[in-house]
Amino acid sequence: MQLHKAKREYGCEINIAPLIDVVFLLIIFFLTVSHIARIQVEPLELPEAQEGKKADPLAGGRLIVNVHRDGRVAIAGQTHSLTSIRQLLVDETGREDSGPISILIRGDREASWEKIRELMNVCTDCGIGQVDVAVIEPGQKPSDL
Amino acid sequence: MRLTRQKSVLAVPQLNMASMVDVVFLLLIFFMCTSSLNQPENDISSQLSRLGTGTGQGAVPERPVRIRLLGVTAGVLITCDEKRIADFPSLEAELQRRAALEDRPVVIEGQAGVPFRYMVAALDVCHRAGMWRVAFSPREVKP
Repeated sequence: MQLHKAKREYGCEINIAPLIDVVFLLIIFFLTVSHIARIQVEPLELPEAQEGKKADPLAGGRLIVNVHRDGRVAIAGQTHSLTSIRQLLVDETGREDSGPISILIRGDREASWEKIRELMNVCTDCGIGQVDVAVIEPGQKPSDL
Repeated sequence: MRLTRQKSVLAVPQLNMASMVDVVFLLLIFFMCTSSLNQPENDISSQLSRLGTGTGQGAVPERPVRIRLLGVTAGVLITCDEKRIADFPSLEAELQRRAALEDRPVVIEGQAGVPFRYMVAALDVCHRAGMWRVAFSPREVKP
């Protein structure tokens, strides 16, 4: 009696389905991250300075305040009045688990000093004694984010 | 006559890897290009002076060097301790001279309409001249 011999199959197959899943997940992740980054760091023509230190504006949980040349003040994509910023800072400093607040002022190079001075006064009133100002290197082209 | 019957071949579904690899590489190139368009930014630190606000008087206890910027049609008018300065390079030379003599804090004051870039330029000049205790004044400067 001849027994039926099981056929042996050689070769390997690449399973595409999980690969597609991973690729699409990565795409969604990068799209989301870049969207969040753009919300916080608005397109502004920053002033130039030689003595600026290299820094990532999105690093380290700083409060990023964007001041446009028309005087509009925006945090995380939302326009704020100085009163609401004061309230925001009071809430932040009043939290039990809050450390010292770090503030980055991203002011347009043509923004009026009056607006930024008022903003700095709000920071001072809330007990903040130092702010960082975002600058670019001289000769660097303004961003077209 | 017996005709030979054609064998029915079952079509095996196949995914075309080549097109997918194309798409993935296009996306990769796209993200690489867009990330390089993000402008590198620097930070410059400044203290906030409390003089004149009524809170925390004496935050700058020593008599500071006062740099005042007034807005004029041609740009900005610079004074350093009431002394008229022609431009920012001259201000840097003046501050370098003062920094060599004594270590004093600096307060930068600006008139309302002065563009922010001039205030930052003054701050930058102070740092370049070796004066690191620089604060922006909260006071409103009248012309």
